[in-house]
Amino acid sequence: MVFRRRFDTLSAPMKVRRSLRVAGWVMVTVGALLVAFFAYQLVFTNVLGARSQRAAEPALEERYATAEIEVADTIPITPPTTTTIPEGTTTTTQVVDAARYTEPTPDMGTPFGEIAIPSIGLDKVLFEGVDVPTLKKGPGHMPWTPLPGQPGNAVVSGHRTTYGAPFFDLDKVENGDEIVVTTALGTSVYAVRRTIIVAPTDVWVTEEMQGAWLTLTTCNPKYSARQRLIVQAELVEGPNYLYVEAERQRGLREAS
Amino acid sequence: MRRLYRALPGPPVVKVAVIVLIVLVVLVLLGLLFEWAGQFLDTGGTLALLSLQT
Repeated sequence: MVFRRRFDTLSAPMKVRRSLRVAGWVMVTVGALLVAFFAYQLVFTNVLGARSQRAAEPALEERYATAEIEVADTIPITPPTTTTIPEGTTTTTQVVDAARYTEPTPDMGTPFGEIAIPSIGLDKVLFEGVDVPTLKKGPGHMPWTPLPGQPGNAVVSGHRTTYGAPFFDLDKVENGDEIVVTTALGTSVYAVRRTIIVAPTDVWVTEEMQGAWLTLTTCNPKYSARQRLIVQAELVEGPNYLYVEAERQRGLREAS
Repeated sequence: MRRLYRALPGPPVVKVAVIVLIVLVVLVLLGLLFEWAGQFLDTGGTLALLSLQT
């Protein structure tokens, strides 16, 4: 009210000058806030992301050293064979099994593996969970999907432009490019099969799939959360590859 | 700033403490505002989390 009364007593040119000064300060303040916002998001959060990645390495090494690997299931991949040994009358029956190896489920927010995409120079520590604090540390695995390296559809989400920007260049990945995931289980290699752009509500990309798949999700386009960029890759090598193939063959036999 | 300093009650030590407190509160509020606004820039690539978890 005091300001209003003072303003009313001013001459017309002074009113214009005062209004321009106020407008100038408002614009300078908004500009400074925008600069601070982008500096915070694109510089400060990336420093935090890099620090979280470095800090995760000891815990990751400990998991690699202590995680107990178990055989969860086996599928015979050769039918029993009877062999007569020429020197005697002994017969041997040999059955070769494909085993599905499992590792303990990681605790939420903890590191449990590494993801690398050599074609775009990506190499990051993987964390369990896709909640806001976890994704600030690095790419996160959706806990309600299988772990990478397991049969089914393992989903990993990551930031595109902030907090270390792990998936900044994900749009440059091409079909056939390798995605290498290392966990306590060993190293699983995936080959990129498709890249699609969907709406943030298209949760079908996380649904169960035949075989062993890795689905990467990130924001699209860069500097916007309007869409999601999805990269889906199929397991082509790894501790469970033989099991996945055996499962596929069994499915084909049952279908025919 | 000078006008604000003069308007604050108490001795200079208290005035400085109050200004430091105000600056800290403003920084925390700015951090919260930037975090909220950052969701429009990059959510981390998650897909409609609420509908997935329910």
